[in-house]
Amino acid sequence: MNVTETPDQARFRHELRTWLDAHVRPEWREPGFEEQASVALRFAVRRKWHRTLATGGWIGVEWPVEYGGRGLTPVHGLILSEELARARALPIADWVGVELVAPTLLRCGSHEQRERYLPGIMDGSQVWCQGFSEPAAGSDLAAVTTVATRTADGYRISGHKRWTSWAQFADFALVLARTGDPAERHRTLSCFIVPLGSPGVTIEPIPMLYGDAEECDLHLDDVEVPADALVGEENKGWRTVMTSLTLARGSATLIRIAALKRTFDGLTRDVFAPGVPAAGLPDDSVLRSLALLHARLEALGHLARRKMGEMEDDGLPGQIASTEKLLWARLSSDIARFGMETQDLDGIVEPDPTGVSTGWRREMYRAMANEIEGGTNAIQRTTIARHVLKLPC
Amino acid sequence: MHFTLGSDLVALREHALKTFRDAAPSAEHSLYDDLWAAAPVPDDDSLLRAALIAEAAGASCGPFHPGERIALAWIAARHPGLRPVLESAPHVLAAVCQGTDGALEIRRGAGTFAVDGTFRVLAPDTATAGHALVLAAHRRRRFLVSVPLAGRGVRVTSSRTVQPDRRLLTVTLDQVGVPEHQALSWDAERALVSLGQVLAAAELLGVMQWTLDACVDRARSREQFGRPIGAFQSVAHTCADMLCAVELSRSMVYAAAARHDGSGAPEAHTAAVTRILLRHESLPVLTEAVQLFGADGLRWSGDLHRQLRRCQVLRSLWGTPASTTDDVIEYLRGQVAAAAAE
Ligand SMILES: Cc1cc2nc3c(=O)[nH]c(=O)nc-3n(C[C@H](O)[C@H](O)[C@H](O)COP(=O)(O)OP(=O)(O)OC[C@H]3O[C@@H](n4cnc5c(N)ncnc54)[C@H](O)[C@@H]3O)c2cc1C
Repeated sequence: MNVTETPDQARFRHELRTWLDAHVRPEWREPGFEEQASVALRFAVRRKWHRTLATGGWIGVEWPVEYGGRGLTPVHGLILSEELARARALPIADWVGVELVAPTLLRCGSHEQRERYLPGIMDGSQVWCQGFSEPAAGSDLAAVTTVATRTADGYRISGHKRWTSWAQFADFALVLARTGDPAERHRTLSCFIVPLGSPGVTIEPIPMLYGDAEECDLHLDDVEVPADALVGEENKGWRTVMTSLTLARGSATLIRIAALKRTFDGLTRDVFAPGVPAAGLPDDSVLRSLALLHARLEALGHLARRKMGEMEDDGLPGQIASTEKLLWARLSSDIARFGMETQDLDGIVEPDPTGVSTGWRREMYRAMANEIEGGTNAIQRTTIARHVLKLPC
Repeated sequence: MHFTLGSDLVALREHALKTFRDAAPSAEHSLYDDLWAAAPVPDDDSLLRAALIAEAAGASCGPFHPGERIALAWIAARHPGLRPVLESAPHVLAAVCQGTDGALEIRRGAGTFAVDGTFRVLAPDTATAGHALVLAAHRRRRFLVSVPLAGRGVRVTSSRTVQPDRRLLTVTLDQVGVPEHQALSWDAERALVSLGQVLAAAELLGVMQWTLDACVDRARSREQFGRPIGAFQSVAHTCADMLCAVELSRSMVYAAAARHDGSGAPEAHTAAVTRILLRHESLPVLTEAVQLFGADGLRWSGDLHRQLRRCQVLRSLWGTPASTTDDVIEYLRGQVAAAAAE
């Protein structure tokens, strides 16, 4: 264990920091900058930022040089996320493509698929989404009913995907579909790359509790895809999905811990701002709770670092990573609820006529989503109990 | 940067675990005594090694709070002048109970000091007649003073505690004379308390790991309704939550111990944060474990209640919770002010 940076790591950090200082826009640092914007505007701004980052060579730093990356280590990825947070940079538009799809293709895709799709993911010209969940298949993904049937030169896919984040802006979806007997569950699932401009694709955003919608319904009606749209082998799609879900527990989490840190900074700003709350200094119980939230957040950051250490040792996120999602989701909820508690009647004001929530209420709603997306809290706990603690549940 | 333990440190923890399980006192001594044998240098892993030993004590149901002994050895290493005093009689550390609060009053006489005031200290049964190292102040100057726990001018009331081998002594000194060589000018009270906080937290981490392991074993082996109780989701989820608490705590403890100030002591804010976190995360693991064990969890003969007691005591050491919170709040306030100034 060594928390001192190597000269190479320190150089990387310095180079990045200098670059970010020159490129991050000051208005992004304003509290609430993103939440003022519609989902479309938010996406457009994030996409521009994605392209700028790509021009600087800061997207896909861990990808192999062969595919346009810099072949760097998970610790470089960690430094990248720390510096992006420090500079208060915006998230990128195609987080799904960069953090999930590209690394999945690097592990499960063909050389041709990597050559074809990775450049577009890197430079932000093509955006991706993941169509796994369905109305009747959420926690139980092996119950997927979307069907892919073979045709003369490929597959025909029909089904209904739900909660597909950012689909309305995406160019491609990684789709999980049935290619055999449903009774065989995860043994007859396959993964496909579906261009969303194809005939038969309809996308409808789903208005959400927080007012606007990143999540979508994705309808696939007899959508034709070529044979080389299949990722990995037929009926081995479960492995691809599990790879993507495992990667979602790897470097991909760093950015959301950084975002949570930013949210917490907003909370301390609110608590210690002069005149808030009106009566003067917060009372002891408030301060105790705040100190504890800070402690949990610090510890979570260190847990993520330990996870990165494990990944350097073993290539994939291990035991520590399995606890991280649950800890993060709960902490994000607790921080947001604490933020709500600092407000009185102001907390029920909903200024936007379209119902777009702002401030702590939005944070709370988003945090509730954190406890569902990527596997609910209950599913996370079962996974830990079964696969880490080897309990017979 | 690398954030997992190297094989040498894993081996050290294993060695300490085995030593504590075998309960061989001389081998235990060598664990502590070697720690500060060489003066710490920045970037070495002396503090992390100390934390791993403390963790092993908790994880083996072993000796209570080796952190106090490690802290005493740390003081002796910084102040070789105090070594003969510490070696001449068993000592307990008042800072374990007082934190940095409650310095006694010290006045200089001819060739001696006179010490007045009241402090509390945890002492093993056998050491009630030993000495305590206390913090004392004369105007702004701070001293570390070795005072006797019996004799003229010393009044002691002793209470049993939930930790069977420790009593809580309330000691009142009335003009107790102390030879000059037993009082040292001392400016490292904060560093000492930070060290103690991290070592107590490390031991709590060990206690939590021990408890998790015991629960997982129990969930696999105890059968009800024709199945291991671990097959019931509420039991399995309880264990999963415990693992989360353990790993979160471990991450904080190791991070706090991985860096020190050049003397072997952790950074003060990180130590305070570590203490707050472990204080919060540890007790629920123990109380949930009692539920998971059913009535067996309440047995006097079992180890679980011993660990529960140890947890309660360790949570209370090295300063009041309020003073630790104040430290962290001060830090957060400073961050907000710094950001506003930017
Ligand atoms: C903001 C957001 C973004 C998302 N983005 C995507 C995306 O981009 N792509 C995608 O494919 N999906 C996405 N999802 C879907 C997400 O993966 C699912 O919502 C999630 O897996 C839960 O499925 P469900 O909503 O159908 O709930 P259900 O599975 O119906 O669960 C309902 C309740 O039952 C509990 N439950 C279910 N099974 C068990 C069990 N075995 N044991 C104990 N409790 C159980 C759950 O914990 C939950 O409390 C997103 C979801 C959200 C909220």
